[in-house]
Amino acid sequence: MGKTVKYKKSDLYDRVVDEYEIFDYGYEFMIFLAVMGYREGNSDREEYRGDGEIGLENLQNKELYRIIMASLAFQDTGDPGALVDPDRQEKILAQYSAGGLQVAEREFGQTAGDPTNAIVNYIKSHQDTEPYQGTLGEIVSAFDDQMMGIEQD
Amino acid sequence: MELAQLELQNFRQFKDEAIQFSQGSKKGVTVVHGSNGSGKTTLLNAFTWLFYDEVDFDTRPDRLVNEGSIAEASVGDQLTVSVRLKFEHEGVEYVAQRKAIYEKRSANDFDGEQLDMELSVKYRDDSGWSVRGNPGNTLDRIIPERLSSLFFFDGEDIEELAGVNNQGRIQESIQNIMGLTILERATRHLGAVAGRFEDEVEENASEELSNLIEKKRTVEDEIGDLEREYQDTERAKDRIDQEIRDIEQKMERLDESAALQERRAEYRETRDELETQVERLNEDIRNEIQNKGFVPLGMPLLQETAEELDQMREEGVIPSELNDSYIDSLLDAEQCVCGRPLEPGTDHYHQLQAMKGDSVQEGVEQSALRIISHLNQFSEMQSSFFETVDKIIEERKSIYDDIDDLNEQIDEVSSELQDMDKTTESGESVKDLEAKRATKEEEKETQISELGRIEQQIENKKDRIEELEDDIDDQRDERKEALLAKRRQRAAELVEDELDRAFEDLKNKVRKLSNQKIRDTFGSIASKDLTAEITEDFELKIWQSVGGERVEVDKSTGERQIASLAFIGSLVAIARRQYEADSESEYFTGGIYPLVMDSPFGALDMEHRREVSRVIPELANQVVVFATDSQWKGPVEEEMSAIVGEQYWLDFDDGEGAQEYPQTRIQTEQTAVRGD
Repeated sequence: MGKTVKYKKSDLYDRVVDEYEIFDYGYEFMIFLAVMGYREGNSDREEYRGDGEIGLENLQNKELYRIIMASLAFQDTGDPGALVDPDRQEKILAQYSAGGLQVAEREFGQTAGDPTNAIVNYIKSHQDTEPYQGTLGEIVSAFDDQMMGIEQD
Repeated sequence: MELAQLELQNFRQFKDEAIQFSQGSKKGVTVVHGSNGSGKTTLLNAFTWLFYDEVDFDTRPDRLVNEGSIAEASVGDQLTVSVRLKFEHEGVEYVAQRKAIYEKRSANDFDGEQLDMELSVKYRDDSGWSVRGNPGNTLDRIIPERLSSLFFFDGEDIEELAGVNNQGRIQESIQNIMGLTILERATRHLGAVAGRFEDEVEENASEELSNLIEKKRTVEDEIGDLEREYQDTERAKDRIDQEIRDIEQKMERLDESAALQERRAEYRETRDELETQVERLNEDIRNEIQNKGFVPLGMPLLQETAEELDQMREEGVIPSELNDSYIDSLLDAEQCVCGRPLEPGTDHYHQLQAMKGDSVQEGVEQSALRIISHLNQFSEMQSSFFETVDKIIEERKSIYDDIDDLNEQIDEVSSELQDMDKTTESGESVKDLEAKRATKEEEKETQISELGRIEQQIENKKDRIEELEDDIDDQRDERKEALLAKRRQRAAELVEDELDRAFEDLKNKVRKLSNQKIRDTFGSIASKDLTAEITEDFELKIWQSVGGERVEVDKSTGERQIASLAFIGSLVAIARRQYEADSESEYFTGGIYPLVMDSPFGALDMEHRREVSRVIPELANQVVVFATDSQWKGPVEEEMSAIVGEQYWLDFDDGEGAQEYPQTRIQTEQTAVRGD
């Protein structure tokens, strides 16, 4: 059995995952909560461990989740080494997802019935007007070009 | 169980009579012919009185003792009422007898006063006849009282089984007849054992622990109360549902209201379809949230990370070196990190190739490049999420508008009906019926929200139990005795859980088996497009195939009766098959059961009578039928006569002359029947 991550869990996990099946698995909701926690600047560094337990492999098998975990760890520590440090990444993920859980409880934890709409509304209310495409596109090309050895202007 | 002989003494209109039951599967049917009022139902009651001291008579329910015998007795005389049954069960011969002693108290006393009652059960083993110490329990184990109406049944109310709210009875029937009760009893017993250990923990525990246990028990009691309240509310809701259906059926009988009803049904159907579409769209939204929902929220994280990595790039921190395997993977894919093509022979290709050899461990650079290389993908996912979700929401809004329109139209139909002065055959005005229906709909809504409320309360209390259990487990300052009892309690609970799981599995296995058999049996009796099923919730349902879709049928009395007969017959057949298969299964042992049926054909048309008569004797080893001549003659007789082993006629004398009293004699030959 692979390594497992202990994370803080509440009834909201049961509702969102088991009852309303918005996410198939707890780890998918955990990632969602972690980016939510980061976005809201809320990381719980005290009580981030709890009854929840998931296999680390589930997170690492998905490229996009690996990127989120590495980015969180990098942003949280400011240390590029965190990009390749699975232990720090796992811990920081649990802290942000616990922080995100607090926000989620507030935002859609109290909704009676199916929270799908409340979640969509929350995401939509954080829809950025600024297009990422331009900035990110430039960064991608810059990396690409430098990697190819082309001189920048 | 196989019935051999029934003897009646002073039991209602039977003074001293006996019936020998036909045995053996080839001619296993015993028929008792009797006109209305001749004593067929009394014979059925003789079984329930003997087994459970229960009778159900419409007339003079308190008078058990034979009227003629008590009339002829002198004041102070004692009379014995007795029912004696010889039968065989699991290879053992039994004689069960219930005797009641009555005393005549006055010259006009025709009921008598009961002085004594005694039940005895004898059985024969290798050493001869012995007496059972606990005769009531013995009989109840052979045919549990709760299930008596399945084996000794009155045709007039047998259809109730396929009515609403009979899941409990159906479930219980299945597990009892299949011999699963032993597991259920074991589970219950372990629950009680765990409770006793908990008492022990409480006795030996600290005050704090003792308080926690007390609190937990209070919450458990509250859950029990809430669960009962839930069942009551559910029953009330089902009753209202039935009332609504009844009102609608009444209105359907009048042309004018029928047309409006039909229109309303169409609107409702369209509304249901639209609601299904909404649910599908919600499912699509859920999929989007699951697959891409984290991306829009994660974009600031990714952007900040990308910008910092870009800064590092500008400062020359990265990229420093790339490892060989990563370069190889890019060259093989002929695609650069950014997604641009990387064609062999181009400058870019050669430059990348030249970087090989300065290998470094998988590190920061690669991780950074991985992040950068997926930025476009994240960005596209974000756009796609909002585009898709916006589109779905728009579509859903349009459907909601249509649903609102339909609701308005449904309300209009209701208003039109409430303005209608016409009167139905039953003498009620459409106006009143519709108003009543609308009130019932409101009541139903109230019950539905009540169910939700109770369910929520139960959930909360269950959570509270979990918290208290954790607190109880956390208590460390206990004495040795308390710790030991706690461990024993946990062990009992663990085994209880395991047994419970095994029991649920077996119960479902048996349900599926029963289901198949019932489907076959019902299929061979009822119309071709109807099927019967025991649902996962143990409801006996009838379905009809309409245009390739399965819809539940509002069952008529006849259909309910057929479904119930098919259910009982199928259970008896499966239990018999399991018993005869001599399976090694420890729990699912089955058994042999007779069917004693009083007027089972009453509500059936001729064709269904034929089919029931054909099928039921194939399912049970032994069948006893009480029937009037009109029920017997025709298809029933044609199907059954070849397999009838014994026949009796109830010769009823109403005793209307002076010094004469009602009496029924059981004849083996048909005589000129009196009192028909």
